[in-house]
Amino acid sequence: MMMNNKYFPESQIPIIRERLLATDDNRANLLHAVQFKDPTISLILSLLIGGWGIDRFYIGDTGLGIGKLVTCGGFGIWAIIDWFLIMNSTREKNFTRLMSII
Amino acid sequence: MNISRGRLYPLLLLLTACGYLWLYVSNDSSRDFYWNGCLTRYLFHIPCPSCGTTRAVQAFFHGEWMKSLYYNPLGILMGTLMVIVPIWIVVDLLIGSSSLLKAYHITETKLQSWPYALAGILAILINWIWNLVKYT
Repeated sequence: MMMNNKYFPESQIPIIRERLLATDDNRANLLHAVQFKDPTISLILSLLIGGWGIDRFYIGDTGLGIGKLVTCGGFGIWAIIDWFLIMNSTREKNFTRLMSII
Repeated sequence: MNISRGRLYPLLLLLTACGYLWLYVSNDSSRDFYWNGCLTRYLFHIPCPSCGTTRAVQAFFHGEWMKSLYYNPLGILMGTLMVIVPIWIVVDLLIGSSSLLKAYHITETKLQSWPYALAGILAILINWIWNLVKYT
């Protein structure tokens, strides 16, 4: 939990803690196999090639990624907005992935 | 895991509205804009895989299919989506269905599988190379 808290939204940490405590060991072991997306990498991708939607592809938002790609990054505006949103979106995605496992 | 209807539909409507607004603004040749709508071309002075789509969509709406294909094949896809998506959303809202959301999720899942992803990446790369030849 302590090591991985940067992958999840701050507001959801208590919920994750409660769910983890209630999870049985077999299911908890599954967590070691899960790879979470790093918010810092998504921010770097967003800054460098966000105009092509690569940041959205990285976090698994393929539909939005294509939307960004075919509109030159939403005429450049969406690409800039995503510089500020992508880290939180990555954490939200990680949280939903974690919740689907435990 | 997936995007909800409450987020997808407003986002798609906003994107479509922006698309029509952009077409309207670009159509007015009396205005000269410093911003051409592409961050890649603005920063690196090279066209991105989607450059030429505005002209392609304009040609598509004027019924000039071959011209549209030449400017950028993505224009035909964009033009079709700009017509279909708002109608689909309105119909969905009227009958209380989520068929567009389902179609979106199915397409997204398909495109995340390797054969489709590889085909998509190849198509975009080929289109980009063609764009580089055409517009530089």
